[in-house]
Amino acid sequence: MLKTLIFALASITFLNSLIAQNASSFSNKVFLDTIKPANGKSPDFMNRISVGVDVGYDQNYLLTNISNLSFTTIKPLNGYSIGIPFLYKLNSWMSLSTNPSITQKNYKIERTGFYQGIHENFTNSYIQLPIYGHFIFGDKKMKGFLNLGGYGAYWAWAKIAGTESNILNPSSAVYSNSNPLSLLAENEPFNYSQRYQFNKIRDNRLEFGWLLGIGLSYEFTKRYVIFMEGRFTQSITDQQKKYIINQVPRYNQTYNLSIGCLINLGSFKKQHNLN
Amino acid sequence: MSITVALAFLSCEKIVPSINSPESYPGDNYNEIFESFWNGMNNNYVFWSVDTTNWDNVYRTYKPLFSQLTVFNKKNDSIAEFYFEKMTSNIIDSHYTLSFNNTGHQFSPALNRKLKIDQSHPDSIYSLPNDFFNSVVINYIDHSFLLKGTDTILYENSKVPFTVISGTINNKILYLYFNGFFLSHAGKNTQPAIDYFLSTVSNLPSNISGIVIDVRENGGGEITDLNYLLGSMIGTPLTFGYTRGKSNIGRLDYTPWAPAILTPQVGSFPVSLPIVVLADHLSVSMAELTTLAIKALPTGKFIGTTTWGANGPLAPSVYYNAGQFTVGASSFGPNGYMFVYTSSFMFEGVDGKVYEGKGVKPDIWAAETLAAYQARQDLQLSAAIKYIGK
Repeated sequence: MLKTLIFALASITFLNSLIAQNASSFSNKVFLDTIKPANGKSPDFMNRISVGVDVGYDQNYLLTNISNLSFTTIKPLNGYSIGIPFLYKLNSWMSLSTNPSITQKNYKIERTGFYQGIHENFTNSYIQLPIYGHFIFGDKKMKGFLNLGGYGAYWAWAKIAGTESNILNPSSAVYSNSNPLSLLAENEPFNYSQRYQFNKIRDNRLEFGWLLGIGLSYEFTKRYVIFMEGRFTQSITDQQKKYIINQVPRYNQTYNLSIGCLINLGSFKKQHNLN
Repeated sequence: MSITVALAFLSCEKIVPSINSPESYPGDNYNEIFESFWNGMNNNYVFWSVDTTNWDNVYRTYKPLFSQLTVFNKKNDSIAEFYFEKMTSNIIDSHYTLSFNNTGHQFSPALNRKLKIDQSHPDSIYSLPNDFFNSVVINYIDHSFLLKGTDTILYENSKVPFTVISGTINNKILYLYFNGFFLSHAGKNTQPAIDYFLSTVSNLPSNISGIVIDVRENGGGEITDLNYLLGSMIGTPLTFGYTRGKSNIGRLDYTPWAPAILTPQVGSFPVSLPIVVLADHLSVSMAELTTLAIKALPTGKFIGTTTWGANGPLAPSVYYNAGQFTVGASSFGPNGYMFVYTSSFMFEGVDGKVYEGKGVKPDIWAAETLAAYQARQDLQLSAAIKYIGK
């Protein structure tokens, strides 16, 4: 909750600055620039498009409630993302953007106290397609930006790895030790790492949500821009299908930090001199 | 505007409802008792992937019925018990028992189903007479090698009679019977019989051509007894099945299948002779897992009748976030309004089959009859002797 609040307030600050910078023509300028730029010439289509690559590191929280379980917690886990961002420039301060990516949304269920050591790590890979407005702040080479929009994602594959206490493989120490210090001393641990088997009844493999990102970009040349972005995504759909009464939902909440590079496609066209 | 937009973002933060553990419900009215029970089963019961009971339909049907029971009294207790029995009548967990603290009544869906099986059917259940092992079986044991004894042991806060018989049959077969898996609790009367069996296994005389382990009418007990007994007869670990438990609160959230492993004990002697397990309709729980473990041995064979069908290991729910729970403890005390006894794990055999609610079928079917008992004959033990003699 606190992280989301900080993110939201930082984004609002950018947005306010953006609006203040363009206050006099906020509503008109968007459309005038798109349809008829100031110099009377329509910008080349390719000049409006940039494409690139980004890689990121994220931390995912599974929002759910397991307070009825004993000595059990859910913890966030880190993961990676790799994507191909596309930008379509509408005007000097706003673009439409998407960046299809493979994004991990990982988490861990672990037990505590006497049950310490028993855990299960979920590595979930999503093919994610966000669509968002890209709002730019600043008119020098270094700019700030705000991304705001939504996304859809497909839970493509997953892996589980962990340790459980194997009840039908009791530890030989049980015979000599009537007070084991942990459940893993009472029974031999079963360690596993395997592909996750999706359950058609339970698993909802489609995820939708909203996103909010803030970042900085640096325009090396007219062709190359590098950027760094902090992005927050929140699913609004349950990770499970509705298959039982009194079901407790599960939502992914992901914080991602990525760096990337964009290339303006129009910069590859030859310039023709007009006589 | 900034505050409005910030609040809009915050309102998108998901608020997730919670489910109480069964023990957390106040349980001071029938509606709460029902909710506690239904949610406890929803989260703790481990057989939902194979049980055909439509648990959501049960909620829709019985929630309004329990709401009509407004006061606790004998009449409503009787009605509530009737509803609980109907709700769970098709539950496949054959350990499953509801114990009602107020009335002292108990209900076992598996027992109710088995009592309805026609007596002429091979799977009809019967109980061997109380004196069967003392009056019939011991006549088969060579008198000079017969060892038997009974101790009263404390198991799960109850005093339980523990009986062991061991010896040889026709100087060719090593025999062991025990009525419960309490081998590690043996006392001065039963330990000699156990020691004789295990010491003979570790140093088998040349005249012994087979082993019979008798778990008929055995209601189960300690998991550790399996390695203690069979671990003395193998040289390498043996996987005889798999278990899986609950990984989260969802009805279908399971842990991966973990191997059930028979582990050789220090000083074990791998037995290459035929090992026969005798089991019957009243061989339950550890008796069935032992039967399956012996079937998994290269020379193992199961003779008798289909076992009870209660294979899921049990433990208090705090251990594995699954299994048994108490309803209404807040209002009715530690024993609650009702105790739900149910497995913490599902078991499947090495063949990938779940035997819960069905039982393990014998390799060689043999059933005792009243006529045979009256003639002091044990038809099942005779079948084992015949098999080993081949």
